[in-house]
Amino acid sequence: MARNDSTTDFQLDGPAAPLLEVDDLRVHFKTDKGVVKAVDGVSWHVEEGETLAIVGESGSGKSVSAMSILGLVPTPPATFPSGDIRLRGRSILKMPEKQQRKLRGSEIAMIFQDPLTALNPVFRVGDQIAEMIRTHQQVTKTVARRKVLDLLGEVGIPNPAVRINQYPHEFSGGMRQRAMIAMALANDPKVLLADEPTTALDVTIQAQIMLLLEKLRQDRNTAIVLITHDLGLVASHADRINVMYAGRIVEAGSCDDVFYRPQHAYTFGLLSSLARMDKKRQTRLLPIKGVPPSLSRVPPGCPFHPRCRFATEACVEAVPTLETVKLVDMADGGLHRAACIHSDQVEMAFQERVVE
Amino acid sequence: MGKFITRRLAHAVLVIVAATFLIYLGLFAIGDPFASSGEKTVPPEIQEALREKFGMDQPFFVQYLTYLQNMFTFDFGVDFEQRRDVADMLANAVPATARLALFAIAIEIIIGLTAGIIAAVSQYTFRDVLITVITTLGIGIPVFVVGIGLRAGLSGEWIFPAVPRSFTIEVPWYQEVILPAITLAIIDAAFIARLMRGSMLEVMRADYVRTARAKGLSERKVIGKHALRNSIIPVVTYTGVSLGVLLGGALITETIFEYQGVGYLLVRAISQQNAPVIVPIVVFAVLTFVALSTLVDILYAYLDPRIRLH
Repeated sequence: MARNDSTTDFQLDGPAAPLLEVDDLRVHFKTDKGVVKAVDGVSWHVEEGETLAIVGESGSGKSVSAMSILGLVPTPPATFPSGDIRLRGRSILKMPEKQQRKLRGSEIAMIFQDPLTALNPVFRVGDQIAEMIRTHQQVTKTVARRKVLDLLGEVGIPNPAVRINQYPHEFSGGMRQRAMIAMALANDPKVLLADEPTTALDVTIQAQIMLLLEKLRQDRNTAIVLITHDLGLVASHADRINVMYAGRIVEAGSCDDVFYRPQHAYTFGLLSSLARMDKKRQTRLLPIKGVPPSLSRVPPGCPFHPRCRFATEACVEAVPTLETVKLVDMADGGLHRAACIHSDQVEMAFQERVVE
Repeated sequence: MGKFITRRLAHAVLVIVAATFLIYLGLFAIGDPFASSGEKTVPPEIQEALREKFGMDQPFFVQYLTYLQNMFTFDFGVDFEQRRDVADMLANAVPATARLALFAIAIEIIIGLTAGIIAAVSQYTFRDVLITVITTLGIGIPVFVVGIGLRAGLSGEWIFPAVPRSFTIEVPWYQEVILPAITLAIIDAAFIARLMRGSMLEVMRADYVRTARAKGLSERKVIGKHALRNSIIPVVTYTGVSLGVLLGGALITETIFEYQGVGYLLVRAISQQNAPVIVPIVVFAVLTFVALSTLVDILYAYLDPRIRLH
């Protein structure tokens, strides 16, 4: 794959540092109502060929953390009081804007929730993808066009020679998202950020898009950061999960850890409010009471305590930190972490529900 | 696209037929041209002879067709006052008005677009507030105030010709056109700046602008290509219609500066009840307006591919 000469000053190969690392990131917005802590001390990393899911309700900070990686959060009003984002050990946040721009779309690409509004309505789909190529690679229009045809074919758009000249409104929802994916892949990025990639699509199309992402991950060894509120999607496609609540990660671990041994009351709540298709008899679904807190007035202590069925006085006193889960019969290398002081009760309650 | 243009042209022809018909009807409201000659009343037998000579004794529909035919062969007759050929009068006035209109539009597009984009890109900063204050003033001031102010302050100075105009002094067209063009451009430029700012701000929040940034495009390209192309659409509509209006003659401004264009000619013709001059000017105004709106619609469809479907 021809790579742009201008990016050769980055040494992106080699195992020394994680491919993409978010380290104690805080993103605060100054508003009239006070400081909104959209992301408040979040750390995670992702490696090649891995799918990391970031799960949470709207307003939990999952999108903002992804946008920060691409520099799409406008400053002001946003500030970054602490933390760093590193690509193979090199800080993206501290890079000059011009250098950051070289990474956008070439090393890190993003696909968005609503492919209708994410594509520019007045330009042809083919031209929009070609623009992505020609921004980062010195190639002629003809070469770029040939590449676009290949990409459209690769993401499963039938009849690329016709489609390349059409406008976004002439595409169906699923085809638009495929075109978005083709655009994101145009420069063969190392990391693909997928922000709710299937939320705006029909269920049948959702599965196709997820299969396509899965195939691309395997073929190209791309790291995928899947941002979603859809636990079903996560269960079948992610390697690891970060559960976010009120701007913080409250539980992190492998898919199995989080789905079968949840340690945080919020994760418990999410899983208990989800209908299970793999069981003959449904246990009664338990909704989470209330609404997510306003990020300008996060409750003291554990931010989840006002909605939590396990909450005690102790939950209000201090913010629980992410602790490695210690399980007697498990030895999974300490990847499973949770920020809940009632982990043991949560796990017990969950196992009871499973047995029921 | 071809189908769209055909439909739009058919639409334009219909409007023109209806408008010319209404104008012809309106002609009878001006009054009977043969009833009097200056102060004196015309004897009935002479009135009768005149009607016959000019075909006014024919049935209404035949008169209308004759009028249409004469219009489209540029046979406008002579004016009542000085027996001049109306076609000649228009041949001098139309190019003057066209120069004025194009000049004014050019000024308002350059100033309006630039100011609007600057205001939008630097929203809520001092620059934005300054532009907003100036454009509010610009929209609020009536055109005759701007015109009279400029005339009082600048005419006769530097390269600008003195008003009232003296016909013995020849002045190159570009010296005549500047002050009236600025007068016309100020209000429209302010309006375009407002329109552009609002439209740009809306587009800048759009997802596709975020996509453009995520592609790694420079801010210049994000704004100048992706945002501009979408936000300019309402401005194109407004400018096209505005040009259509100006080509029909800027009555107030041309009169203030005694600019020899269609508008000034029309004002004088109306005060003299000079029907042979009024009618072709009004027809011409309708024609240019319809032509420009049609052109705007076609341009609109070119700019926004989603329109072509409907």
